[in-house]
Amino acid sequence: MNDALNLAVRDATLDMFQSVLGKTAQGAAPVESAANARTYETAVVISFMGGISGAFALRCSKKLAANIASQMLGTDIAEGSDDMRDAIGEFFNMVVGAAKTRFATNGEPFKISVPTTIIGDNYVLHIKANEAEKLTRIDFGCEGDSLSVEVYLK
Amino acid sequence: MVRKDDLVSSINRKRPDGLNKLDKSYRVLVVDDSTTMRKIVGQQLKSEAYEVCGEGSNGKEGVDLYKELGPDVVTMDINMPVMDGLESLKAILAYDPNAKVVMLTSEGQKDIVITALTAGAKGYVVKPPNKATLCERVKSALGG
Repeated sequence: MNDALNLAVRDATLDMFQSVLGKTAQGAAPVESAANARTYETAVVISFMGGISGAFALRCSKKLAANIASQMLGTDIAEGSDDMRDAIGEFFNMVVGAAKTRFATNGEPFKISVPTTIIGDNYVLHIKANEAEKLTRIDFGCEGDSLSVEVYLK
Repeated sequence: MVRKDDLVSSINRKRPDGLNKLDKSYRVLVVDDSTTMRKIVGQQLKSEAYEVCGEGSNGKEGVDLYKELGPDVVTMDINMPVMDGLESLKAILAYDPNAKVVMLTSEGQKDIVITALTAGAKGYVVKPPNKATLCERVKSALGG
């Protein structure tokens, strides 16, 4: 685990809930997790490389992803729609960007990829970051909904 | 790639109080790989009587649309597929040294923003864009 990176991701996610959605979320402490311990219908993956390398993944329900998209665009967005896919990817892109800034103050800088969004009821996310497929997971709650952000370190 | 004719027109829409904030409707090209961000930026600019004359989904489309449409100003994302915003900025400035480009970036790309400003970008806005800040930076880029 990289405590500084995990803290940066946690704080950035909470900040984006506030600044993008105008909502206050609660973030749990980062925990070590097995891969695919959380199975939500929506996942967004952004890889990073530089001083450290790996990937970030956001997982949430289609309902929450559609709610986030609706808040961002100021109109009702249907679950599973193109607008939902793009908006949840952009939301996580902003989270990771903000985490990068926070981490850069006490860690090694890295570059990030464009987001990849996956929607489905029965998928396995395999990110070849470490052989043991261990990752750090941070769970968040907001108004009855929940999401997880995962940090895979190579 | 979306051209002016493909967009729902709300150009030169009068404000409810009957006043337009701009003396003329400046034409803005919005380049971002996220349709969500293009919509947000477009909505914010249109509400202040700017005209979104085109939308590009990557840096190459941005260059092509700049040459085709000749906008007054460009808002340019940085992290995009095919051609990133920094390369697109350089290509646009090589074509038109007087081009006015405002970079739009997520928070973690400030290092690249400094490179962009050095290369000739007129300003930058951090995502998520705030309407007042976005319009102020675009206006500033236009020399207003």
